[in-house]
Amino acid sequence: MLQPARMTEQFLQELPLEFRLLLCCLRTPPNSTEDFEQLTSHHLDWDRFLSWCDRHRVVPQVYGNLSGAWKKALPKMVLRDLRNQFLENTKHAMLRSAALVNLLKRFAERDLPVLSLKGTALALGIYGDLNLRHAGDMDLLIAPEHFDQADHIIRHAGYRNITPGIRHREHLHHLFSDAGYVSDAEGIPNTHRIRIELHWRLTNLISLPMDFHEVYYRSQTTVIAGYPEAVLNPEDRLIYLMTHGSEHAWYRLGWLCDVAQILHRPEILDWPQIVARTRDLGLERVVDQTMHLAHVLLGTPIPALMSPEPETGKQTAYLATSAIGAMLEPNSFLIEWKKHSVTQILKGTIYRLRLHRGIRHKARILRLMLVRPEDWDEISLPRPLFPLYYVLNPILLILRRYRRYRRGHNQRNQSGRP
Amino acid sequence: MGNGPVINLQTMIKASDEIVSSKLDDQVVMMSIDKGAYFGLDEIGSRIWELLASPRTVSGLCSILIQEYDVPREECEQDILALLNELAEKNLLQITEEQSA
Repeated sequence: MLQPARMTEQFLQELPLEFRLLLCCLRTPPNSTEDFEQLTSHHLDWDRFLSWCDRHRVVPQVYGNLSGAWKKALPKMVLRDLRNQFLENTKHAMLRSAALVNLLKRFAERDLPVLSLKGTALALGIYGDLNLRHAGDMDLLIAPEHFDQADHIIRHAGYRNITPGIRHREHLHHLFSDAGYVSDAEGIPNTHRIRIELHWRLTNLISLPMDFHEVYYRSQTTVIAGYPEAVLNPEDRLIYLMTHGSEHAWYRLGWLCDVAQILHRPEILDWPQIVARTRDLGLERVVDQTMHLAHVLLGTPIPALMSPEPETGKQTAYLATSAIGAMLEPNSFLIEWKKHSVTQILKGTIYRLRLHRGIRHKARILRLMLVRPEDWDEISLPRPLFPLYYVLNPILLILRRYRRYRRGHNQRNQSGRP
Repeated sequence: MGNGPVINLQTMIKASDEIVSSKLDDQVVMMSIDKGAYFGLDEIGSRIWELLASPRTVSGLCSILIQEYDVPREECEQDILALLNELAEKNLLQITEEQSA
């Protein structure tokens, strides 16, 4: 069994009570009632608790885990809020499932292979009900060479492409991993508007050299509303979820809950294969961080083969504590990292550089620091001059910061504050 | 009732495959993929939905419910037929075949 690093243990002792209660509600099987009662006996900031449930996209898991006794221990307002959010999520999960089936039919009509990532299939596959997981975007994976056809299908199904920098599509494809779409359907509130992320690569920061056709060949078929849906096989799915969560510094606990849920059924996975493949892909640090966080935060038992090597302790503790920092702080350096201060950008970059030992990974991270697709829309350069954006990006970054500073300065002057 | 199928006690039915459903406490909510409309079932309705995972006649369905909920057969049949016709109108049921009485 994994031995939690001392550094993270200390970190855990200092976590806010509301966050500890959140973790307590997310553990499966649930913590003992004594733990729950002990935490709820303190004076808690319930708004903070609810806002964390929402930001971490874990309302379905929290509400789904509440036993009768736990429900009685919560203030009525909190329980009502959780239930309302749970109902809204159910509604959205159903709408998204219907939209997914509609799209899958269109892809099948064109004979275009597509894989569903996360979403409905993940909710049904690992939680057993589509309302026990947050229903967010619909994530679809296609072969990179099929992008134009997939884009055509999605737009004709009533979605608008909202990807910044789409005018330099070939560079976008090379540098990034997905395009965004939003439903244009009328009369639907923004919260229930269907959003799609069309991926041509599984992940963005950590490049997973997993060819679509190989992944598709290994894929499995599930059935949603009577319609077949191709999904990642269990081993690919776990590797994808660990990498995805890790590159986002696990700033949403919901992603970690997905992994924990899978780890609770270790018998369905081929662990020696996962260990061999993650080693080949250079994902040892990602795996160590994921297992460590799942064990320490959610009490998940870790399969012996996945326990971190003792010599990786310091690296794992750094990556784990950075992730816990990202979970706690909404504007952490790890989220929207390029929008923050130089120190935060540096911290975020160091985290990303340390995630993977490969030189190509590090070069990719540094290169990504120098591109911002929004700039490609703001300043129109002809294709042959595209490399100039690498020079323009830092200048534009400084200009934006200066403008922001001036705006803040003027506002402070107008309000008479120093 | 519109022009939809009329279900009687001999009709063989099952829950439609083309729906998504979800549990909410003791209830079931469902949505037809093509109609996009939600439908909620209370505790007894949810039990009926569970039983309709496999095809069965309305009469057979009533026989199980009479035992489980201790209700008179006539009352049960009336209520069940009303509910099932409503579900069928919303494309939530599949009529697999009709048996002769």
